Amino acid sequence: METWNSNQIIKQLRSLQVTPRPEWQSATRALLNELPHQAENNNDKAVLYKSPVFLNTRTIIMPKIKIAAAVCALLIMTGAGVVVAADSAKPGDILYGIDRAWENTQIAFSRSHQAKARTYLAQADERLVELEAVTSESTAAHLIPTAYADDADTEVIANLLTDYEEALINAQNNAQVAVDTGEDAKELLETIAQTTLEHEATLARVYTQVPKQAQDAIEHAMQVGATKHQEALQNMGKEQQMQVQNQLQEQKGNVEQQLQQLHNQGANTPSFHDAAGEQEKEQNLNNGETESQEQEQNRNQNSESDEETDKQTEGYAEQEANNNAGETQSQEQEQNQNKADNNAQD
Amino acid sequence: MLDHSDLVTAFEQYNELLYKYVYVRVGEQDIAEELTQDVFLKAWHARSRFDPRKASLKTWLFAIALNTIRDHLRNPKIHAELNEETAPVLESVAQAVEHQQLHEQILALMHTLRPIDQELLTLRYINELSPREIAIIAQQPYGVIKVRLHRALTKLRNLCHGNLEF
Repeated sequence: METWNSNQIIKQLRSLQVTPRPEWQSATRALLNELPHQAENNNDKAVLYKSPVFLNTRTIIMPKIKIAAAVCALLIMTGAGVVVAADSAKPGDILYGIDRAWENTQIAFSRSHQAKARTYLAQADERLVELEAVTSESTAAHLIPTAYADDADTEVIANLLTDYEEALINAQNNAQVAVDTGEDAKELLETIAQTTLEHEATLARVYTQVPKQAQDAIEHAMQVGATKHQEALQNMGKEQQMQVQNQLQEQKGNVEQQLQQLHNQGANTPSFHDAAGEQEKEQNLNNGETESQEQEQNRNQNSESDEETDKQTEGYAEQEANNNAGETQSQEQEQNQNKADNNAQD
Repeated sequence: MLDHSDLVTAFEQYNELLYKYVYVRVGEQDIAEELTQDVFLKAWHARSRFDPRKASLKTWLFAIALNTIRDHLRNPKIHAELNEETAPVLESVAQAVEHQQLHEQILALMHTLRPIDQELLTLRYINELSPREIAIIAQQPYGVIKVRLHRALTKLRNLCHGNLEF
């Protein structure tokens, strides 16, 4: 099977031809033309940028913890718009505190252990999105005052990673309780196994973009992620475990390769292969496979991943070039953006 | 503030673009027509809130479309139907290789991604909006949108690599 690159996919997506039926266009045109003559409908349904979380909480009467009460009070005083705006806030933004308080409220309102685990997992995911945003030159410049850039950069990153670890640990702990109490948590465990792999890839990607002092924190976060990945696999039944490991084989191979490259550069990265080694050995014994066969498979997989990584980088570079070409920015802004993009790819 | 002539002009300018976005997200002509019509009706009812200093009419309409689709997909009945349909998607892609266009197969794979990834990929690569426009529509910082777009495209590429030949 030949390797896909991003440009081929983009080209295919852009070739999609979808047009509405002329009958529908005529009917809608007529409907819109009638609007000024209709009585005004006071029940205005259009609410822009509404938060699904806020809507869900409308039926809840009593807040469960103090932080929830505080955020609800804030909502009453200032309106939901603040929280909605804060949802996209990052470290350094004025609304970031509200964003985090709102996240705690979401946890308080999650009823089951599985729901809590998913909410914590989403929080861990959000911390890494913020980490990537903070470490990209284009956003870091306005997030952190220049005078404090070096120290603040390291501190912000370290705090994000600590919060990431905490959220991930809480996610796994809640998943563990769900499993221990006999709930069907198969889907959740699979999500954790897959998400933690994605997290490792993200952490490996930003490793070289952060100050030296922050790299220790990333290494620690990688170790925690690898452990939680392994714990999720261990909580699965044997059949599901093998199925999930097969599904994630390629993704895992790519992550292992990324970690190995960092390891070769002196980073103290976890060995995903070792972390899951005990189980893989057991499965291989059960399947009658030898260890050398497994090693050969890994070598082949790494060889494919090398080519994949090269093409991915190439495709992303071309894609970004297309993005920049399509945007109406001033020349100076465009040059700055290109510079930031190139750094991000490095 | 949006007046009636603005709305009519907007319909002529953007109805095909919005319909395309809605159709790709929901996958059914009837529902896409109904939801796209809703977008323009909602825009009319919310016309006093439109502020051209904050967003262009095009991005405002897309923001309404995005929320309209989210509301539609959040309907528990729709959600249950989608869950039933998601599992065999990959199998159906494999079976349809000889009968479908390549872009339709890629679209089927895209529908297995998370809704947020589908939203971003559709807005960027099918509707060809700029990341800056998407950042306004999704109410997310530009940097975050770029990161998420890259992630979503990588996920789709991995899916294509595992399931499709070109």
